[in-house]
Amino acid sequence: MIRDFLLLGRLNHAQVKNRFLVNFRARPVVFIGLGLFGAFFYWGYIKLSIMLLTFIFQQPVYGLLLASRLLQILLVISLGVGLMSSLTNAIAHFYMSRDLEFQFGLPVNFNSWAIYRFSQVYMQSNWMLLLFGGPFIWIYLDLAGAPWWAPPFGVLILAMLASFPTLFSAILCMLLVKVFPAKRVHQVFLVLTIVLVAGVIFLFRYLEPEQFIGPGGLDRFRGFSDVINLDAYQWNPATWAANILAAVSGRVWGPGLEYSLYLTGAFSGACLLFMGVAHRVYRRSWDRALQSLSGEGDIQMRHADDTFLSRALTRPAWAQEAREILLFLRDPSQWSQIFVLLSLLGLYLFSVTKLPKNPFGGSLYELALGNSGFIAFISLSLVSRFVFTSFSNDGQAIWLMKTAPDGWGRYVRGKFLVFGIPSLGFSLALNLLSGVLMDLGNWELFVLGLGVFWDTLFMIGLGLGLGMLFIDPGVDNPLKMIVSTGGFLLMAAGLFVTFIHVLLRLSFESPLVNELLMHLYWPDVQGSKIIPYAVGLGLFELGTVVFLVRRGLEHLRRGDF
Amino acid sequence: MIKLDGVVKSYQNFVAVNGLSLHVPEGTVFGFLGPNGAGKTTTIRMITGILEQDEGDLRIFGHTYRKNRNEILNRLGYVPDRPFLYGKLTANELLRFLGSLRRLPTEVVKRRGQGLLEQFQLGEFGNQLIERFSHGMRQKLVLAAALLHEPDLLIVDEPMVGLDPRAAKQVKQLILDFAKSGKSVFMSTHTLEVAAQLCDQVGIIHKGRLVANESIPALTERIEANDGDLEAVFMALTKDQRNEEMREVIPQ
Repeated sequence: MIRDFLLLGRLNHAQVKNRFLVNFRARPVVFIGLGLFGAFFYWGYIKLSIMLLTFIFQQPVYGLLLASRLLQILLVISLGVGLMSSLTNAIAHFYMSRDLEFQFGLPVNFNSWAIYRFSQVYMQSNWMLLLFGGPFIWIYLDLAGAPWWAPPFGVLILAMLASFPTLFSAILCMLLVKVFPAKRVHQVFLVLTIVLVAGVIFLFRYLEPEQFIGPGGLDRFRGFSDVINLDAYQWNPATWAANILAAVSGRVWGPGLEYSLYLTGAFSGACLLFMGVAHRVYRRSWDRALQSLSGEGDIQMRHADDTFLSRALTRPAWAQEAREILLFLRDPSQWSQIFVLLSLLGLYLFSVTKLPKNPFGGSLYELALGNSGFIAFISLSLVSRFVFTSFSNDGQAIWLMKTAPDGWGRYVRGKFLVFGIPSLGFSLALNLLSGVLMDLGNWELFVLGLGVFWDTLFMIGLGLGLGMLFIDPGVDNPLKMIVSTGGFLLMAAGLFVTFIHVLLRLSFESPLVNELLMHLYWPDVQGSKIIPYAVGLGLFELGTVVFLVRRGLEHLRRGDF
Repeated sequence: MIKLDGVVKSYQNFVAVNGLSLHVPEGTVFGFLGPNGAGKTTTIRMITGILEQDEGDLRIFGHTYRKNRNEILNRLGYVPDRPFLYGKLTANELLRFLGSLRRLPTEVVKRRGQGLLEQFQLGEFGNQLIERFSHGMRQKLVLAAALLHEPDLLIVDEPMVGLDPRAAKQVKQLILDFAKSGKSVFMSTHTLEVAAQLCDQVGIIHKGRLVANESIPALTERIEANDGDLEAVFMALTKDQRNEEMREVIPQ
């Protein structure tokens, strides 16, 4: 059994290693640059975590308690995020996986296969949680003065906690396989997403995080954490994990042992349930997972022939756009993401109305400029998910475009209009509506809108250029594309440029920020001094986008992918 | 109609097509043979404009892709070896879309599309999503799409793969009818019998180079010299030196 598990693990390891080497050899400079950027970002995160936890621990009397409460809240939230991520990955591995048939044909022990599959889902769902949560817990236990073995033990507790949403998702998927063929799984996922998002919105509004911003925020957080009724969460594994960590940090061994037993017992029970469902249900019905992949099945999907979009396919000028919209609308995997996006839009705007009007002593316009930085991050995620991946999403069917007497320019225009313009609209709507809710004046709204328009257009240009240059028709999962070299490059470049834009605008608007930043070698950009920087940066960005799009079009034309 | 002169195509360090020169005259059914990895599909992808050659001259209808891409593609139909299509479109929608990319009038697309779907027994599936189609149905739909604009040249990569005997016979007949109307077919195949049945001329590619380019009468002569065995001719032409050396080293 162990031999089979290792064998399967080696198979997976070889695939990952080969993919890494292919990417590295193709673009070593980009790869090393991205690695350095990632390392710098991670280093910054560790430093910030140390600063935050040190600050909390230094609070008189309630420092340790406050840190423990913060940890508990973070663990509960991470359990929710882990559940969303695990559901997506479990569906990808137990339902929509093209290698199922091959793997079931291998002469390996079924238990080994089930554990191997689970470990794949676990790693893909939780690597980020472990990467960022692990050091946070390590620092917490270290600062709390826990024994030397406590930090690695704390990371182990986090790893065990992270397995709960993955086990739940895997069991759910294996049960659903018996009931629904793969064709229906996205509809089921949509319902689950609606339930989860509703839960998240409820929790978020219950938490009212805006109350913790600005002067007195920490006191309000203490008050808030005091009223959390621990008994209400006593059956939540995140509470057990938090209690174990709190007990270890305070060297209170009795409760630590008790909650460790709870956690280990629940983990063992969930593992047994997982293996039971794998044997009794999934082993007999896994082939239903293939029913939408093989082109065979009992579901008849007829489509009306005279819809507006279907007719638009016959108009040469709009055929590409009509095709993109039809394919998008008929892919149920997109619906849940659109639903999540719209929910977040509503939630964000509602939260803006609750923001304290003058949290840091600056003007509302300065707050709106800072807010545009947050929204730019959301817009960048949108561009990354929809614009950048749209080229690879065409998959192997791209040969139809390559052999059609229609310019690549029209093809790219279709991507821009169908995915780029809605991203631009989303970004503008979120910024301008937030601005209206903050009571900004018309001129301020106009300037804010102009800035956001440029930022988002630049991101879309980057997304289009890099999407063409890094096109990979062999990758049919957009999430895999996002974490490819091109995806990381887009995120890194987009984040960096957004950061510079926001700083430039804030330092132009606020003499105080300008003064502060000048201590960090930032140039003086007050008044007309901003012109050379803004124009220079604008020209550089325009040049970058033009260069990338031209290179991308040449790459598409040469067809070497 | 198709003219390649010293065409080279490499993938990083691997040379897939190495100085290939080839001429396919008008009204010919040209069979393109070769073992796996010989460079057949790469050559076809260059002829259809999917890939661009690194070196050499490639002309279709006397035009190059750099200067007259649309003129070439408007007169060319392509059937790839694997029928990847947009699964979320219906068969009718796919034909409409491809028709509009080629600027065909809507009525023409509707009439010809319906006729082709009927011809390939896909008429009742016109409003079904392509993702529900079996491999054979997709292959037939690709053929219909390739013929929609009534091309002068049909490029077919492994046309019989995945087809049942009835569909395979239908495709063979279609190729013969297409050629009878004075048009050309460039067809790659592994099946020597198919090449012998359908082609006027045969080219054999090995390790990216053309090792034979003969008319069927010339090939027949050669076959007769090999005791009437086409397979023996093919094996002799595509003999791998390394395999021969290995056979000497490894005891049989």
